[in-house]
This record gives sequence, C-alpha cells and structure tokens, in this order.
Amino acid sequence: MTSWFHASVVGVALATAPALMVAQARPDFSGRWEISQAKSSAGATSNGANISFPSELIIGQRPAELHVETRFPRSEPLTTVYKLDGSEITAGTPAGVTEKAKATWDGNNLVITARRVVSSAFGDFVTDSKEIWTRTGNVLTITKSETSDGVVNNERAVFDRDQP
Amino acid sequence: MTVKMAALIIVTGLLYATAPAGAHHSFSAQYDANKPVTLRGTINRMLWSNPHGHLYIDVKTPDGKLVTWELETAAPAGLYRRGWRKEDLPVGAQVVVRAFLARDGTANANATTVTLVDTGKELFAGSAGTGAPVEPPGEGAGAR
Repeated sequence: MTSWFHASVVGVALATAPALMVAQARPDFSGRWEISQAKSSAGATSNGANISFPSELIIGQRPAELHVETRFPRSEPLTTVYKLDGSEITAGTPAGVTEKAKATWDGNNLVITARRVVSSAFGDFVTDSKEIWTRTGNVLTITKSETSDGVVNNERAVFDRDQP
Repeated sequence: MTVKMAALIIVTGLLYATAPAGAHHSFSAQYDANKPVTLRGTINRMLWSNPHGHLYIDVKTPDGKLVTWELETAAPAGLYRRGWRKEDLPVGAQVVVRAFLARDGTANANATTVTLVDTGKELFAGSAGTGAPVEPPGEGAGAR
C-alpha cells in the first residue's frame, strides 16, 4: 500500500513537473517600467515618425492575460489587454487609429505581432509590427521591427523596473 | 489727417504681423503625433521658405489617383546644416517620407525623414517645436 502510494506520488510529480517548470519559467512582466534613453537605440526614444515607444509601461500579468498601460508624454494613456494564448485582440489606440494584435510565448520571450491602420481621406496607412519582449532581472528589453509600405525599421527599447 | 494716418499705419502693421504668426505654429496644433505614416511618391517641388520649408510630393492613392502632399520641414537654414542641398531634390525623384498627418484631414503632414529611393540617402527633416520630432544624436541645433 505504502509503496503503491509513493509510486503514485512520484508518478504524479513527474507528470506535472514539466508543465509546472514551463509555467514557472515564464517571466513576469508585472510592474512599472520606465524607458532608459541611455540604454535604448537612438531612434527608440526620439519622437520622429518612425518607431515610437512609450515612456512608461504599467503591466499587470495573469496566467492568461497581460494588461499593458502605455504612457506617452503629452498623450492620454492607452490600455491593451493581450490574451497570452495567441488569440487576436483589439489594442487600445487613439481616435482614427485601429490596431489588432496577437501575443504568444516563444520560450521565455513574449512575441507581439500587430497590424496598425491609420485611416485618412486618402486611404489607409498600414503598419505591421513584431515586438519581442525579454526580461532580464529588472530590465525589460523590447526589440521592435516595423514594416510600412515596404519600408522596414528596427529599434530596441530598454525599460528599467521601478523598485517599490 | 494725422489720426487717419496713424490708424492706417496701425492697421497695416496688424495685417503684416498676423501673417508670420500664422505661419509659425506649434507641432501639436497642426499635426497628430498619434498618426505617423509612410508616404512614397515623387518630388513635385520644394519650397525653401521660412519659417518652414515645404516639400510637395505626388503620391498614388490605393484607387490610382494622384494626390499632392504638402510636407512641412525645418527652415532652409536647418535643412542645409543637416545636409540638404537643392540638387538632392530633383523634380520627379522618388522619395519615401516618414511624417505625422495633419489634424485637419488634409494632404498635409510634418516630415521627419526623407529618403531618396535611388541613392538611399536619408535626410532628417524635423521641424516644429513642442511635441515635434527631435534631432538624432550628433545633429546640431535645428531651426525652430
């Protein structure tokens, strides 16, 4: 009886261990993150019409969702809730702009792909983007590639986590 | 007579004063920082004017019509310091422009970079004040 019980415990533990290890391996992006101009690529922190990153991210992470509030200087904050199973969501955008996005895990990295459409009287301006989020300690690195009308831009933004 | 002359001088002065005040404006008053776009077209003409230059390019819409976009740039002196030369912008040359759309929905935008397709040369065009594109590191002070 005892040996059967022990074998069962060991069996269950072995069966669930890989799943638990994967779940535990996922980084937690929760927190308040501020962009570092010094550590980011030059274009990432300029406010030119190329790739722009928020100055601040407020993130709350749950097993199935990532709540992301983006803050920019001189603009209202925007909130997006990403589903971490890769299903498509509508991102928070300013008026006249729409964005559909998907978030999936790639190992310890979070990959967000999105299509952003700026509408105008002269047609839609479409931008496709891919972000790779990596957390190393209290540093969040987001590398972003954008394609718009055949033009590709790449930038890297580094965010430092605010310590409570 | 003296009063009429004084009134005429004041009115004339006011009329002249409003023109430059209207031409120079804050970025956010005219352009939308939330709407960066890429425009691909051919140079129609370049107006080397103050306080802002204006690049006009012909852009084909998805339905095949040609629309002439007016793209605001920095002042000519600032453009010159950043390497812009008149010969860089021949009429008919293909360019790709990164810009912010105008708030009023017209074919106007605030250019931040202009890339010449044939040579790959990228020119920094950023112009206006608060909220406007900033210069990349290593650039001199831009015209405002």
